[in-house]
Amino acid sequence: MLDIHRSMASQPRSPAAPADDGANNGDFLPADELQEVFLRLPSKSLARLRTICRSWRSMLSDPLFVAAHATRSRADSIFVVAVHHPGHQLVDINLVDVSTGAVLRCMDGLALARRRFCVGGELLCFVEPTPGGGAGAVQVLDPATGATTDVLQPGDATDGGTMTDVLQPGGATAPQIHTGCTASLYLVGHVPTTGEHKVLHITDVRGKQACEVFTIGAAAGRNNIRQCQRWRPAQSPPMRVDSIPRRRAVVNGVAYFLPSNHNGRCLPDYDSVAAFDLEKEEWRPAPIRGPLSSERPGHCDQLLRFSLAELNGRLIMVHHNYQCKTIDMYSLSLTDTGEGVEWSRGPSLRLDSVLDRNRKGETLAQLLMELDDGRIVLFVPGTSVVRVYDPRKETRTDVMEMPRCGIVGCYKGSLLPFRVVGEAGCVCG
Amino acid sequence: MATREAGKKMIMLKSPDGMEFEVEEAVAMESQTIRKMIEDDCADTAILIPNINSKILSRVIEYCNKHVPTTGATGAAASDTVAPAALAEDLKIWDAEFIKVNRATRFDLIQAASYLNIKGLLDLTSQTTIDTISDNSLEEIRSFLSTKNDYLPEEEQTIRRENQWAFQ
Repeated sequence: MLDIHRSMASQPRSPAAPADDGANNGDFLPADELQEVFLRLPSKSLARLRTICRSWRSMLSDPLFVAAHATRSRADSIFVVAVHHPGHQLVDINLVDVSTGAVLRCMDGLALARRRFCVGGELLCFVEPTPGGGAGAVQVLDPATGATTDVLQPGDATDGGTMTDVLQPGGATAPQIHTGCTASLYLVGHVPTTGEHKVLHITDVRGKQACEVFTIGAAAGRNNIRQCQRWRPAQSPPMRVDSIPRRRAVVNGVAYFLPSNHNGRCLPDYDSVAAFDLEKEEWRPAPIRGPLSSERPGHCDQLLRFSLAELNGRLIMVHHNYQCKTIDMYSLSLTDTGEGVEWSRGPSLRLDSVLDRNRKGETLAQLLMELDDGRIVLFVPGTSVVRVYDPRKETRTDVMEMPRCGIVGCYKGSLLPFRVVGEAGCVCG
Repeated sequence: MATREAGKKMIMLKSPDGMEFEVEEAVAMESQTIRKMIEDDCADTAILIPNINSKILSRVIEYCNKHVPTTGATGAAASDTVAPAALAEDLKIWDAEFIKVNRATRFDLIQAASYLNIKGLLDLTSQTTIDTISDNSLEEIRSFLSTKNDYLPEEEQTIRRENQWAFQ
């Protein structure tokens, strides 16, 4: 006779559910099973349930539970919207449910215009540029509480900042870098192999793009924020990369970029992709040849018809093919060694079914994510509409319209707080 | 005790109250826990399921019988002439009937599904609880799940403030 007990790890039960090895009396749902139920609920319900009783609160605040919930649940597919207040130098940050457009969290007046706000993986953070144009202080934002935590103090950033060295060869005075409208970009990506997040900053230094990287520890700065670290210099990209958000994407620890728009001219490398490995902190030596230019060498096309997106863990090249009135998609696969690349043709969407061509400004769609049921969430910059598009039925549903807003990115983390204030008032778990 | 019958491998499941259930291996393997044991080759004799009484275990087996992917065991429900969509619809109706049980039985079924790791049954049995938790007031949830509010009033205020966003 084999006892099933031996092959199953038994977890300690919470005081709410008395340990009971026989059939239960129906009055209690034991902690393990309650947890199974909780894992199926969205964050908002869980945050509400914390107020039920002490044991539920400790169960729902357990970092292990929060982590399990974040990986298990796609109920929290969220994109992040920044609302700009012209003249006030203030930005509100809203977390919006992808499929319904419901605002889950509203954090008003959070960002000062000087600070740059980045979203990626399970991390929301601010970076403050130094007066010289390099990257300075870094703060992590907890979406549940709206609180920010310093991971790099402004003072630490300026005295040893790597970009400062680049900018000041031989201790010369730093040249004035325009931070406002130059191609200075910040990007956050999750590195799956280490669990860390990395911030990549690319900026112009005397006509050439320079890069620096900053690491934010595993678990998205929840409890183990590593202090005393710096921005590290990285190689320059193998081609000039674009700073327009829809022309870059992070997939599986690699940041991909399309080439910079050289004054709107047609170029033969219009769909080339530069790839930066966030773990190794190095660029792929040569740009990846795009799907169209490799088929039609010598042909030139408009750069801005191409954009990148991450859909279900794959890099997608999106081509607005105005001749054929379609939005074509190509998906990139890398061979195991990462050396070989292959583009495979994905579905084409009819331009007229995705965009409302009667509305002025609807010329372009930015793909945000694919839902479990195959519907695609997209943003139309021309009309500031967030739309859910069903490719099978060719129907579109607008879930949100937001003038003066920008989609910052998609957040894949949990809305449950990172830190829990324990009963003695200490920061624990 | 595993026997062969019409080419199908049988497994014996035993409940703590002494009842024995002979089920097809494919049916038992709807449970990931049992599947793992069979695959690890440690289930050549009867398997004791210690936490699940015979009444609940028989219902779990009933569920697995219905949901096992092969057509042979499910008998009348599955036939070559039935389209997959109709079959899915039929399963849905069957599930809805199956889950019409009292709260105590449902909690026992959740426990069994979790213990035996049967995802479909866990989804089905948790759904009512999920609906209750999603739709009702905190007081109603407390009464449904027999939980008591053990916060001090000022403490409750603090916790509520911490999680204010969820109440907006």
